[in-house]
Amino acid sequence: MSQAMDDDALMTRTAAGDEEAFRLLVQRWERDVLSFLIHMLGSVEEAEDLLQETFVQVFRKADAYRATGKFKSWLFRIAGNLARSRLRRRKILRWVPFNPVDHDIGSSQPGPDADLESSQRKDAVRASMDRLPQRQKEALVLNRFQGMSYQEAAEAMGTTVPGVESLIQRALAALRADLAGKGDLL
Amino acid sequence: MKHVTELLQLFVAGELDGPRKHVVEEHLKKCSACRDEADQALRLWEDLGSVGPVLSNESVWPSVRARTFGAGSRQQQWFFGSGGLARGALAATALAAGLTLGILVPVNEGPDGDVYDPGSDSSWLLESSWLSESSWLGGDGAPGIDELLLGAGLQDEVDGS
Ligand SMILES: [Zn+2]
Repeated sequence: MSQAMDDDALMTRTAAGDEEAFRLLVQRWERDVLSFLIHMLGSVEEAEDLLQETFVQVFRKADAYRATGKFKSWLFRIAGNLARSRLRRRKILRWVPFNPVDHDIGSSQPGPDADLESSQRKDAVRASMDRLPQRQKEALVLNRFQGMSYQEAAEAMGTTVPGVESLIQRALAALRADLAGKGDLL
Repeated sequence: MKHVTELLQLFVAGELDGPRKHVVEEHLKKCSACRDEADQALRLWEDLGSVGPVLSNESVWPSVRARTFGAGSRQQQWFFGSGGLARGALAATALAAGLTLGILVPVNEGPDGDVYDPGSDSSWLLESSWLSESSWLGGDGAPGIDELLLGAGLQDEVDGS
């Protein structure tokens, strides 16, 4: 099978029960989805759990997928919904405080040659991102980390382009304000 | 002079369209305060690009395969493969079993907002820590999550996830 086969073609084959096509899809997208989920949930373990769930959903919904070249938005919509669902439940059950020990993304240990200041700055940025409202963070992550256009992010989030722009604008303003309180880190 | 502060983040992210981009560029030529702001905005944008998580190289495929194409997921295929009615009945039975044992399982919404579809997010079963710690279960005498799941016939959901 051609590596260059596009997502829509792979989805069509997946819906027809082609395991190899599904494997290619999973392996093509798993890192992007995992990175997104880690940003959303702040926990690698939970993200890995939902990563698996995301692709099981993709498989189960493959029949319903319409091949219009928007697989990425569709995929991240599934992942985003799962993440939101998880965050909602977490909020209902109990507040899970951010714990850097459990969060690979928040515990960069400076190595012997590491630039401590740069490492501190990254930690500060991560911590600030963690404090963003969920929708703002989602829009920012899709755009900045997943390289999605506002249009793609809007489709993935079920909102409009101006909606995404507004979310990102507010997210960045909040980050600036938050980080400004951290002296000369930024 | 009207500053363009609000547009600077979008500007450095390359997200401004023609007319707005032009306004910002023209303003920056004559306003040093906004140039400083733009500098800060650019720095934040670049910092954001450097805080991505460190990902392992391990693929999720084997686990996903086991839950979709895998032969090792016989019970799950039986579960997922059964019709909506049978699945609903099984879910209802499981829920009833849970309720009989005095557990309140939180309603979980799937991606489409479905209410309680065990297949859509089976991981709720994995939250054993909060379940066993929860005072809802009545403290130390409470049955463990494994026993409860075995009782509900859903043990494979846990093992397979
Ligand atoms: Zn100005």
